[in-house]
Amino acid sequence: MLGRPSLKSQLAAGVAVVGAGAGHALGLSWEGEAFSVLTGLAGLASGAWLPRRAQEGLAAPAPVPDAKPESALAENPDAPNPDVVLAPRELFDYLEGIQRLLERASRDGASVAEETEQAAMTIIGRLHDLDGAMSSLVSCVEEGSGHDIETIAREADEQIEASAQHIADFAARRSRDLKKGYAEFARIEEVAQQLAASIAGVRGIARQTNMLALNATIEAARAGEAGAGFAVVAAEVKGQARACDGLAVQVENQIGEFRATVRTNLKRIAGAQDEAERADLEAIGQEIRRLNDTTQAILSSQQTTLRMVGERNAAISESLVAVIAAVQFQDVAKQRLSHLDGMFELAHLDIERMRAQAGDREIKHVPDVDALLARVAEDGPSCPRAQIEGGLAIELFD
Amino acid sequence: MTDTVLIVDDSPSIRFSISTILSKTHLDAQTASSAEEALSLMQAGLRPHILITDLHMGPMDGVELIRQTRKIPGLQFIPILMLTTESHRAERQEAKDAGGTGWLVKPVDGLKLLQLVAQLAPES
Repeated sequence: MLGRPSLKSQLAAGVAVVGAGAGHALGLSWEGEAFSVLTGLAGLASGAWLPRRAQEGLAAPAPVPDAKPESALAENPDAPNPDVVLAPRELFDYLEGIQRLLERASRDGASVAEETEQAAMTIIGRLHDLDGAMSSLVSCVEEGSGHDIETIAREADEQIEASAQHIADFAARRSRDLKKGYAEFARIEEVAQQLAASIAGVRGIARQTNMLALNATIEAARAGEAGAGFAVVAAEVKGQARACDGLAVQVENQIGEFRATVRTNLKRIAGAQDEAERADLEAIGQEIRRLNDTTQAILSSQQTTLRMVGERNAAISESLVAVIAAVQFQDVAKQRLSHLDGMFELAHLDIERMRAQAGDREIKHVPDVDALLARVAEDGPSCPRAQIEGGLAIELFD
Repeated sequence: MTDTVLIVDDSPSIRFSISTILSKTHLDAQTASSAEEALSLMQAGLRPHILITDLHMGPMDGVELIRQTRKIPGLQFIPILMLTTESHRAERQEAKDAGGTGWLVKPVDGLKLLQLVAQLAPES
């Protein structure tokens, strides 16, 4: 029987605290039985994967290593212990059971670490591929299609501007032609006026001639018989003067009709054509302006799309970076498991030393549970953020 | 010449994670799986503009890597960040005394890491 009845409970409590420490190190929150937790850890893996101590076999516990870790027994294993207790076979069997349990927990921890490492690599690899695909897509949109759209829009704009310029040149040319036409018609009018003036002169000469013929007739009558022949000539001249005046009147009338016809046609033809062309040009100009507005709207829409794609990509990229960084927690978990394994190792060695005394059926040297508990109380790697010393997850030294 | 960041960690997932994050910067990320490998690269001529190293690696740890790096001509003043699961003040002080520039606790926030690297190794 145990000379110190509290030993079993101390061992159980020690393992329980180890389990509690493991739960804390793993970020778990639990207050339950140590053994049930350790058994739970053991149940995490199927046992098909056997690292480290598993290779040594469960049935044959590893021999006590030469290295003596921190325990009272290790410091002086031959020191006499006044509390020599007689240990029952059941206790040694139970200790062996705990050893196996610790080995299983250690083995499963290593398995979890390796498998999560592989999973982390896969996750990061996929995220890396996704990030690359997103970057390629955005580059394609921005530098490929986006560039083409802008080129097309710029070329369309240039074509529209060139078309508008052509139309403006045409309108200017038409305007110059019309002015030239008006100038030519004005010249015709001027010549017609000069002709009318000449005709007026001819009619004046005819009137003068008629007057002279009348005077000659009077003088011929006064001369009597001697002027009879002269009277015939005077009558003939008078007739010619009247005929000349009649022709001059006829020409004057015809010139007047010609001028009226020219003015009427000029107004009708040039005015109507000019008005029609102006209306057509205005319609074309409106269509061009509408086309230009449409092109600008397409360009603006494309630019908005590009900007939105860029913003969404930036947001996705930030999320990917955050997720990739979060995968680092796998390494944190791995190191916590390693830390936990160190505690299991310590407990395993203590139990092994006690079991080595099984032949004597006496426990002469009981490991110092305080050393075990001190190890349990140690901080593990990467404690929760809120408990980081100094509160700085990122610190630049002064 | 492209600016380089050297990432030293015995964990493949950490090397992959950090190098992927830093691919967002102008830096060319190179990795080493141990302090000895990193030291060998630098002694062979690699001149990183920034060094990010784990603390617990064997046999040489991150603090010793800082000390050895500071002895290499041209690397006396480059930023060296310790990226580790440890957060104790005493260990931070040891890294600082060895010549470290800063301390990052895993898992480090990716965006903050990018900001820090941009601050320490600005694009020229």
